[in-house]
Amino acid sequence: MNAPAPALRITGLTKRFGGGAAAVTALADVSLELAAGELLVVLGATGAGKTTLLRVIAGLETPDAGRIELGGRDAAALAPADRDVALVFQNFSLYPHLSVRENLAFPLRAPGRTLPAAEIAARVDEAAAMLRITRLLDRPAKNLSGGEMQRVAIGRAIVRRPRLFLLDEPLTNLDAKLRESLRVELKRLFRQLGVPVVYVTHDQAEALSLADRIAVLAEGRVLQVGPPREVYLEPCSALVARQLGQPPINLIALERRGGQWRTPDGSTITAAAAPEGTRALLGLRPEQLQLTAASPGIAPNAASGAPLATVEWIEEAGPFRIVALRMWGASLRCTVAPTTRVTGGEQVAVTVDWARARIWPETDLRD
Amino acid sequence: MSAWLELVALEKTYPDGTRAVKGIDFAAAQGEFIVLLGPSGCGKTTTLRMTAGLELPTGGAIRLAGQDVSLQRPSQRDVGFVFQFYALYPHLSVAENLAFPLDCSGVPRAQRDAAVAELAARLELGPLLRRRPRELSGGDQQRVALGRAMIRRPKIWLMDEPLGTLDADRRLAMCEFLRTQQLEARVTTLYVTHDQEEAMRLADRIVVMHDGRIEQVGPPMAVYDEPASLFVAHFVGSPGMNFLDGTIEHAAGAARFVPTGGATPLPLPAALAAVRSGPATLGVRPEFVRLVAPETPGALRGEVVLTEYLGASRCVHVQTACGALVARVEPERTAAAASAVALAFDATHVRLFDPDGGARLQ
Repeated sequence: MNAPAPALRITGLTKRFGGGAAAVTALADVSLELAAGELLVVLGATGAGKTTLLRVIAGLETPDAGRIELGGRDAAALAPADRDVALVFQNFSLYPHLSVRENLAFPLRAPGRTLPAAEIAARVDEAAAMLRITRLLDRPAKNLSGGEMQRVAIGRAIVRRPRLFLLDEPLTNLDAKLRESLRVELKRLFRQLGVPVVYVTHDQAEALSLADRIAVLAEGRVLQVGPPREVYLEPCSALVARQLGQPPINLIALERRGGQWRTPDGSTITAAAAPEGTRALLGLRPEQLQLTAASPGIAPNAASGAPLATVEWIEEAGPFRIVALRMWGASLRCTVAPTTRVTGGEQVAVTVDWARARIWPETDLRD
Repeated sequence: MSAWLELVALEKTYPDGTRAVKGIDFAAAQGEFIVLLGPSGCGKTTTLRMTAGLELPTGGAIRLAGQDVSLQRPSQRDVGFVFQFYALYPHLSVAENLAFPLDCSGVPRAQRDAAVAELAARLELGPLLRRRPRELSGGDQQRVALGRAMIRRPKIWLMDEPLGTLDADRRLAMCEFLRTQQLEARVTTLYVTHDQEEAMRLADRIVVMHDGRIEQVGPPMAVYDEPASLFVAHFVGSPGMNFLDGTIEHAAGAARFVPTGGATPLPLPAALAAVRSGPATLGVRPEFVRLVAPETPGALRGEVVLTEYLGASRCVHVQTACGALVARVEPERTAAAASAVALAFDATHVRLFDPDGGARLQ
């Protein structure tokens, strides 16, 4: 038996803007696959190429190279309207003077669609119930809050029952608090709908929380694709590691000198050998560091494996505290329980969870 | 410590009748970093704009450094306004960009050069001073833009979501940068945001605003741990506090909370023995909710709706007969959707509120 065709398959996609010396490569050889019912989050900074990717999939831009297949069919021959994908933008773009009901029904009344009125009404009611906006149906869109508007915008995509949803930072323009609750609702909603989704964001918490798989995009290239836990625990590069986690991962510059890996203050780290002079980055997530108070006058020696650090400052973050440490000639962040006793200026012994430490052959620390 | 900035019964009613700020009282000491936190429309930005002189109050007074500035023009108040990031001037060098606000306000050349050199040292930009902005990394460009906005030392810095347009990952790094600069300069700062995490990280004290009024003023951990109202308990924290409706009952000198929906009553700690009887809302933070085996006696039974893996932790959303709750657990603790679980929490971590009006009960 043949495996079913993926909902979306992108192969070697390249998109350039402009020409000659001023040409900008927005997407460089991007290949991705999306299974039926899967939610793929494309995570990347502003300018990484996320929106261009969605626009190319939707048919609003023509790629310079590469192939897009929707449900096994080459999309090149399909006009945007025939691709049967729904695109939701970060600015809600509703018709302000129409009611919520009319806004939701609008895509179903587009020229060329011949749905009976009863079917339209049923779909609108169903979408409204899913998004919990039934009580808003008769209000004009202009009287809605930002969170309500974004629900309606998503509802307009749902009523069409497209084969693929494309969401471009749908929560970015909302207040932080609203973002967090709508994030959970979206997750529930897409589970319920069971349709494939490509969801673009620069917010790492959104990516971790929502995704079945995350694709990390930087400068138009896919750096890594995998389930959230895998990308978080096994990032393939320091650049990827830095995109996930909050506070961000600690990256410590290492150099191979005298047959040893050395931190900026000359302390040694044991890891696979490399030629003299090689530089690398050691990655340690803040939760991999644990503090123990150092007794005055009694210090562990280097062989004990618990390096000493000076506490620079402490910041409250609610469920945990962020402690800034000076250690190995670098500035590190660690997270501890709010009950942990620690004071600024104090010396502490640091226990490192080395099992999760990673070293990458990169040297660029500057963001 | 005497107050450096004082807002006294401050009010703003717009001509259309909208009461954006409904009489607020607040004082900040010199050098304090104060964050005005609240949702859109809570009055935080109007408060900031009145402090700046961009809008005039319709009631009350604003005192800055011992002077009533309520009706003064912005230029008379010596305030430094930091908006969302400005772009740098692409044709000017980093040094010229930094000097720009000082040139505009006619600062003598020697003093200007000294200020630029000092700022460049603090920003660790020394070797980059002769470069053009486009030759800098994104992070360095933002440090220059923010540093430039903070080069003057006015009586107060007023910041309106200055990090709002940045990507989330960059925002945290810039928070740290901004806080370091402010600690060094010790310029009293009033900072507006809707992002509770930013508020927690930056503030000496947070002023939580809601519907034109102040809900609570306090250091970040006090606001987080001892919220004064249901609103604060919900708004601060990500996710916010969990709530259960129920009734407080007293028997034999002890108090207990009886949840609506038929769950086992929760004995309240001795510290809450004197709390009033009657309808109440119980609040507990997700990190104090534990996932236990479904048959655990006294635990609140429910069904897993979904879980969110967040790297350093996992949030498990559970539907119970008493409502939906979230437990923050170890990232490796999995819980399948639709599986039966039970929730337990320690009574020492619960907070009680009056469902009518939302005030804290103690």
